[in-house]
Amino acid sequence: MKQQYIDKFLIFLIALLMVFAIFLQVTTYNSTQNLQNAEIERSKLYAKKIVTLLRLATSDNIEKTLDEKLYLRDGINKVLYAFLTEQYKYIFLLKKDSKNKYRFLADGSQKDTIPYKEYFFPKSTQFDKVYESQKMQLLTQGDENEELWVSLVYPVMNDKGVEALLVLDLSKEYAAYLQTFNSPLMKVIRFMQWFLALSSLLLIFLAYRYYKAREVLTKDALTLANTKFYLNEFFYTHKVDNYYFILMDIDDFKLINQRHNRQIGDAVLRSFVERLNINLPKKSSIIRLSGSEFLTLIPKKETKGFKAFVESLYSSLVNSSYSVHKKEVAISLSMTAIDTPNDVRKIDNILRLLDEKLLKIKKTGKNRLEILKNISIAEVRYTSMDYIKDALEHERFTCLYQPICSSDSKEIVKYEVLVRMIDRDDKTKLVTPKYFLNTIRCTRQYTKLSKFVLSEVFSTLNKYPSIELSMNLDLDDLDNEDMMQLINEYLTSYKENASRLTFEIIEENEIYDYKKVNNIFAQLRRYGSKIAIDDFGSGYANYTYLSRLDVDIIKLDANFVYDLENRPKEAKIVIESIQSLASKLKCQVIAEFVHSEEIYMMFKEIGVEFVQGYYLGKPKALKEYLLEI
Amino acid sequence: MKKLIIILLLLYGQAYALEVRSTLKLYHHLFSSMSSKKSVNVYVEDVEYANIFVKSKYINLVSDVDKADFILVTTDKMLMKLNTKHMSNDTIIITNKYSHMTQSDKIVGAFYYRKGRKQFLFVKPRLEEHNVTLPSMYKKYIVDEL
Repeated sequence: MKQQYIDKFLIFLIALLMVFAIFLQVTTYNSTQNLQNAEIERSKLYAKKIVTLLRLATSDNIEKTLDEKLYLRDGINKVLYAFLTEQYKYIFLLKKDSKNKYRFLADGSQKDTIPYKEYFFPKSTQFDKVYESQKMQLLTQGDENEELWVSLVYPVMNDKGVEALLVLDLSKEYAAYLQTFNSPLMKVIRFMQWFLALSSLLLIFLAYRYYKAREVLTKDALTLANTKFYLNEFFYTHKVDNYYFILMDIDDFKLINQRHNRQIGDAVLRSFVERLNINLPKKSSIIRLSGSEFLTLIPKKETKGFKAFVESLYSSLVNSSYSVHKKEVAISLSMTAIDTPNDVRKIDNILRLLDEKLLKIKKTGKNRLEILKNISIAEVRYTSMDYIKDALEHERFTCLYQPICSSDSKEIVKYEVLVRMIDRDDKTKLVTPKYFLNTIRCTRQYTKLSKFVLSEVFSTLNKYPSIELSMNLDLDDLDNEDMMQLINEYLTSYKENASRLTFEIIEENEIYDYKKVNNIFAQLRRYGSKIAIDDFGSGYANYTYLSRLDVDIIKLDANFVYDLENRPKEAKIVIESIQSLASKLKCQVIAEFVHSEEIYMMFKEIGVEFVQGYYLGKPKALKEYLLEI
Repeated sequence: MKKLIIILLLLYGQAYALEVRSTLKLYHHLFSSMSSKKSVNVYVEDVEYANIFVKSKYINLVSDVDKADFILVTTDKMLMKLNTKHMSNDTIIITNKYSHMTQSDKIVGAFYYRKGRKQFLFVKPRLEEHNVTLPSMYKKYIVDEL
């Protein structure tokens, strides 16, 4: 699950807990209120009973009766005392005199009983209100009174109206006692509140720590550019297709460090980023991917004329030297940029395309800018690991066959097996390996694909005993134990067909251990298979291979075709020399990319024995060629 | 742990301070309502009250009854002593017990608690005798006679 969703879920969970705690608190408060209200209702009934008793003892005029019958004063006090249970702090009887002053008529307190007709000055006007309204009033005493919770002022009526006031004071202790009914719940709530408060504090603390840690993780201390961490995080909340991407690498940066020193090198990097910042539009970001490799994200909205902008940026970065520590340091820069197609969702796909392009620039002279143009969303998708994995799982791979012919008769002598991925949405669309092979190299998917090709090759050889096949094999695969084991298993299982198979070795890197390679070639040859060197004359595939490796066939690089078209005289001499050398070494020569009759005739005249190319046959399903024959 | 003890002590100190503050506030108001002096001399024998009044800049505690502007009676013994002594009209005697008001005409007013409620009581003729006019907030506590 993405981090942002986890964060949102946690915040939601804490908010939910807070709401739950508030709900519990409100419910508990209401429950306590209900208990207290019930108690007040009970007190009203109490007051009514007391008044009934008073009436029985004093007929219809309490004051007059008590004035006349002194013995009754104590009796009434005792009656009130009898009602003084744990919930009541005080019960007493008041009367307003002719001067509107309140006086005690009776007091239920056994200790320090208030004398008859002592003055009493109520703070609240509610007492007067009872006289006026002839209705009971409730007085909440508030925090300033430490003893009393609520007072019930009950009118004692006679024919003329309110004769006296019966006051029942409910104690604070009793209110606290009522609250104890809900105290276990209150404890849980308080615990929850503390827990939530502490959790919130912890969250704030963690957020602060995260912010600080993030700052360290997302900012490169040397150049102040962003780091890869920032890149990953950035596209949690931003759409990839809203940005242009430029990948650049300062060529041979190690040499700058060597020629000058590390401090100068660091200063160059800082100046480079500063210059980049000046030249980039608003809201762009710079990410330092590695030592001298930078990626920039440019919002599409901020840039018009992407190509012109990138070219201008490139020249501004390389056309003048960097002045650091009183030294002028010139740099060369390899740069590639992409106008991201709409609907691209994953940054990895874009980075892969840029990486491949930059690698190509680096391998072919460095110090230049190449813009990836007209890249379609489909092409981006073809480089996606998920897409390729899905294709393998759903068997959306197939093999095509391109004929290799005798140059004398144009007769097909063998076929080169070429693997293709089938587009998910358009089954007629076949995708060449240049899109997907680099993505899956060195992964389990690569082994899976190799297994598919080997299975296809050997099943075809088995099915058609008269044909020969040729399949590509990367030199790096020979170093891979799993791959070699797989090939050996197939060779052993189908050893009767192995002699009709040629392994075309393609290489990306220079060979250092020729002995080891020859040993592997010997394994491949065990049952009669042949070894061909692909793209001979380009990169590392040169004359050294002929002298050091045991090969059966050499396949000429496409550049020879280009040379034949542009510098035919010189090209013919070189090809003739290769042909002659190969003949002496008992190697066959195959010319590839023969796309016209003119080129075919040239190779034929030179004496190249075998030819392959669109002129002789495009990659097709094998059945189509077999039907033609 | 030390910090916790200090915090608890401070909280206790704060609660005590509030008690002192509220008592002082009440007596300040009462004294200033009955006297126009910038500071008043008070005679009190009760140690608890003395400890509170000593914290006031407005109240000066005096040990001589004759020098007092106000005398606060808190015990029957003190009341008896005062009853036998001739007092100047400039000295106002107040008490914290209702019963003292009924026992001595010399006492002008009282501040006490009844049924958990604060009570003031002033007797009109006694106020007049001392030429004391109370602010309106005390008017409702004035009675003609006891």
